[in-house]
Amino acid sequence: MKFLCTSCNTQMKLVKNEAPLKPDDHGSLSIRYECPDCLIEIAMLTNAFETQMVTSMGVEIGGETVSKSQGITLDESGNMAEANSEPAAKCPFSQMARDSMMEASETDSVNRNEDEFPWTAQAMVRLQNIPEFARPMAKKGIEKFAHEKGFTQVTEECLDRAKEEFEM
Amino acid sequence: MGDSKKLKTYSDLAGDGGSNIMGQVVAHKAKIEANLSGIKYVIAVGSGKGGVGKSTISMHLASAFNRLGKRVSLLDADVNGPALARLAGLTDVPLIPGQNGLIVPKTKSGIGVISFGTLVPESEAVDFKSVSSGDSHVWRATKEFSTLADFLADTDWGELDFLFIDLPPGVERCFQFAEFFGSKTSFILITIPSEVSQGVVARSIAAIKKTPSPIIGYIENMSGYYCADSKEVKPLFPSGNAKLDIPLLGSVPFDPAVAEHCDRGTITDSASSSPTNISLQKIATKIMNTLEA
Repeated sequence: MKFLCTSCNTQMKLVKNEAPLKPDDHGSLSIRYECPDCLIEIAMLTNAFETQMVTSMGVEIGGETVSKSQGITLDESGNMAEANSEPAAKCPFSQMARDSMMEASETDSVNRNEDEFPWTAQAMVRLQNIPEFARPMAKKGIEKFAHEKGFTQVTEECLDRAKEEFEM
Repeated sequence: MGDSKKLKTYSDLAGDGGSNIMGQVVAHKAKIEANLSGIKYVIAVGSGKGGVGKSTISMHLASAFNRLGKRVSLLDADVNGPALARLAGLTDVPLIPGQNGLIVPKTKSGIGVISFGTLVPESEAVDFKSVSSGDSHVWRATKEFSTLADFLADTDWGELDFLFIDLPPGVERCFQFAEFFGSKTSFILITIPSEVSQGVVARSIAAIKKTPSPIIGYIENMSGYYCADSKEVKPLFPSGNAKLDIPLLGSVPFDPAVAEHCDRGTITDSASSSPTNISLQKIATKIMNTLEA
């Protein structure tokens, strides 16, 4: 889909957002375009059906989502000093799906607040690099393993030990 | 600009204004291709018909190649009715993020299996969150393919001799997967000796032939019933059905003892003396010879 400024006969450009786009309560997205010549701005408003179609393609549109290498700050020991508690999805819409799945997985989880179980930045990057659909279950399983084995946080060593113990 | 001036058309405009949708799709395809570059043979096991034993045959073939010393993994592409996790005894294994993507869970004999049956309990349907209620018939297939693409791109498949992809039923799915995987993927089709099944599989052959994907041949499953008491294979279907217009790789009798292993997830432990396993071992050798001819 392309947009043309009919006044200038010039292709309009996507206005990138600093924060990931999220559908509103009705599933609608607002994606802004600007004419580079006359600077007039328009917004493409999607209905829920159109939003879902784009979501299903697994592509990113209209925003600067946090990429695999962004949003993570390491402290001196290599641990995560500052980051989102969850890895960002590559698609702003699919972030919602994962959030929902996380809620569901927490329902039948052990009686422990999973947000309190820290991951090092390196371990979190590994989690971000697996298929998005698998992340909630991987996170839950690894945290359970780490808890049982006495780890105070999920580290790469913890992940490697899980690999070893489960003979993968 | 006056009304008399002709407005530019879609094709007059270079690029997409910054959304880079096509760029992302192309980049993801390239990532998948790179991630599968260490795999010698990618084989899709399909049929078109449901209930003919695609998953069982896929798992058995993987075992047969594993016994030949080959490095083998399976991808269960049946998102909605995944069976490979149970067949492999891997319904309850943790998913571990490795240095190069998701680590593939393995059976005791070393066969890797990625299946939605490991991700979602059998008591639940595989579901995707949606902001649009009542329209899943429109977007669901797209979502399933993009999810499978993620698994192809973000799983550490490593160096393999074979990656078997167990397809869902549906003639159109054979065609869609042939397009999706491209010409690097060869097809093996499964049928049973009934004319009903063969009719559907014939349609799948016609559909796949419209794509660049080669078809290695077909396997006739449940070609008979193995009676352990009499040690004989007895017929299950009337004989004399016409053969399909692609090479027959072999016929596989139904052995209740092997079926029990399937339910228990111990298929790789089933007796190698079973007629089912003997047939599939011969078929594996035939496939190997075909691929390396």
